[in-house]
Amino acid sequence: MKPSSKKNLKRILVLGIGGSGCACVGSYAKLNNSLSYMLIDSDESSFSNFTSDNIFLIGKKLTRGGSTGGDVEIGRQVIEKDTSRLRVILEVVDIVIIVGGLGGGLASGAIPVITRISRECLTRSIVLSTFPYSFEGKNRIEIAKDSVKRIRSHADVVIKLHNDKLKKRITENRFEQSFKESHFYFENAINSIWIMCNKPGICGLDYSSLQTIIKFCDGFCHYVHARCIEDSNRSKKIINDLKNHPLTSKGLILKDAPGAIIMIRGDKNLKLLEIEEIMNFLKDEFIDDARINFGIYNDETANGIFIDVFIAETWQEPLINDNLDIFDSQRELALSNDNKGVFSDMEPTVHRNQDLDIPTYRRKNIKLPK
Amino acid sequence: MTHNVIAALEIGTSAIRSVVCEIRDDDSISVLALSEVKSNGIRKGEIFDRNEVIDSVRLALKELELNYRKSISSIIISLSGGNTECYFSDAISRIADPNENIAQEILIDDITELSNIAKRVALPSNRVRLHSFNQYFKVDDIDNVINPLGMSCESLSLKVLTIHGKQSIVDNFQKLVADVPIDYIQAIYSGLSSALAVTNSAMRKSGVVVIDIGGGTTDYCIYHDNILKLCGTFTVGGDHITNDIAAGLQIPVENAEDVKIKEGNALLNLMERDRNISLPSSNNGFNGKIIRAVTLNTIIEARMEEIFQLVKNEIDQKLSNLSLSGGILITGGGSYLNGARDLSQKIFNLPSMIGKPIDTQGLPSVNDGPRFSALIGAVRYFRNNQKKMSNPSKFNKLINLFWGKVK
Repeated sequence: MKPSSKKNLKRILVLGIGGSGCACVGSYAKLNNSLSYMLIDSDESSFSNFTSDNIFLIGKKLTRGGSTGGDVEIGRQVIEKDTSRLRVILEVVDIVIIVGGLGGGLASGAIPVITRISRECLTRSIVLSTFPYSFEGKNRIEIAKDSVKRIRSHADVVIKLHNDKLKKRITENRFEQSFKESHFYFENAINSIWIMCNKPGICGLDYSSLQTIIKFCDGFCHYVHARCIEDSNRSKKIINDLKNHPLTSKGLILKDAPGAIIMIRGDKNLKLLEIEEIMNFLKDEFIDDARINFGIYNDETANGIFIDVFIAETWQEPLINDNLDIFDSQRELALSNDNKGVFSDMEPTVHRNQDLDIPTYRRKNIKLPK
Repeated sequence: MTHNVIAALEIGTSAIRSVVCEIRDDDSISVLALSEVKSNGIRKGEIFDRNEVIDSVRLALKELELNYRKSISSIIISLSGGNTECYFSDAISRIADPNENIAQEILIDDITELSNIAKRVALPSNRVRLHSFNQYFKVDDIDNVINPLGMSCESLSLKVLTIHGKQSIVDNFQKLVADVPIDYIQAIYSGLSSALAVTNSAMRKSGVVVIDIGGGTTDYCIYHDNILKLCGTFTVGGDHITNDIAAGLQIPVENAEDVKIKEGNALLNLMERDRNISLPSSNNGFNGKIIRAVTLNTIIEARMEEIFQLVKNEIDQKLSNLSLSGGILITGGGSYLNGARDLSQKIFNLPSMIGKPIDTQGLPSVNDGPRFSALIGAVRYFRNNQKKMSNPSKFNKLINLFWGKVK
């Protein structure tokens, strides 16, 4: 991987894809001035409120400034035509957070391509994706499911949000508010990743803790956020909120979770007792030997307690360890005659300065899964 | 043996196969008898223990005669020349009378003479010419003429493709065959013969790549416009996959071969991450081992991807922008590897198929097709050449004599 400008700070880029992604990232960018973000859409109307530095209009020829009209294939084509521009952007960042609402045209078609490019650029990718409401029709849900499968093959982590689950939580709300709720959920997720990688805490989390969960979670994570802005009984309320949160499936996701990152932020009145209560609750929910990375942040501007939990869906040994940057500068040179097996006593098959008799995985430095 | 019945022999790295075929009037091939024995003494298409090879060939022929129930006196041989390559050469001849300088009609003699000149190529001393094929004529400034007879021009030029192999390998195979002893009629480059077996004229016209993955070598052949555009051999094959597995999993070569055939897949399937394969202990001193399917398939995928990539690089370098709408045909023993077809589709971005001999009856099952494609093709090549000789229509007779294009 490429070195960062400052040693311990990782460069995070947030990409909003399509209408939903642009709206979500755009509204968060207004709150966080130091965030580097990029809005990608084929529809010019998504960019009405933003400066030209952060917008990336694609498919000028294909859609002529219009939307993809729900066609996944067009969504894929418009981004494929601009991959070289995108590659330049992705090559210089360490983590890319991709936000998009699946089920439509652009996000479902483009996110698999973007994750593929980021994998090729050795950039970690975290995909935050919403699933459509079930009333939007079976077809859109099928498109979203299909797209997640394709995203999964390249992305490091996929965090899914089913809009249906939010519906139950806010049945009384107007529809605008319910869309805002899903944006708010992702804004919190982006915010917590950004804080994790950019701000030192009291009891720290950093990029490496994120790396650990990325490595072991086998592709899928859940994200839960809860907050309490009142003055008394704060920890109890947060525990209650986590238990009944629709995104934890009423606490089901917390049960028997194999690993998690827990991040507690609070104002200066945050007490150890409160942290202990919350952690005790979570500890009892998780499996006994769960891998928990835990951090506390003191947020001067905040009012109340915030808790962000990233829960790994499964915990497995990584299939292939592609963390190649450890010995990048001085890698051990392969001996010329090793492991040729039955071909060791023969005339070597040399093709373009490579001895084809040496196993390919050894020459290309492919790490074998243990 | 009548001329319609032909025997063919292929001395490969992993197996020695032979067939007796009858060619029917409609040009379809009917297999009358076949034999297949394990090959000993050959590695990467080269002989390293001559006596063992001779024994294996004798055994194969004995078995063939037993199956055919008649003795076989003469045979055609399909061989991979070991590091076979292509060489393109040009020849130009002035048709017009130098004194008058008026364009004249191209006669058969002109074409004959030009073909003879173009075929004479200077190869390095360790290389030997295997086949020559005409590519295109150039009639003055008209490019890509296939048949210039009767056209009028001032000068005529011709491009010829020469397939050449390693002298030492070809010489030693010839000597070996003579010592068996077999009276061989003709020797044919195996990459070419398997391409002839699995493609028809329409496929060759639209552009097709035939990749014959054998035990020790991989032959490839590219046809376009019914003309052989490029062919060659890499001395990498199924044995390399086996050797990679043996080295990577630290198991004996015999067990590596077994697990490759039974469980190997050229495509890494992430869903298989929890599948373990237990290798039983065997009487060669191996104590048994449990391996992960993903480890096995990572090793195989790396090697197979490299083999396809080698062929792709050759095509990209030498034949850029050639339309290959006929797709990829994989044949030979390597085509039996699971996922090989899908992997080639992924790498070449072209439709891929398993190449099986077409218009052929009498093989024990359809699945046996890819293994025998080099032999069936050799028979077909011989038949095509024979037909050209024995079909003395005045026009075809002379044209075909020097016209390498196979109908």
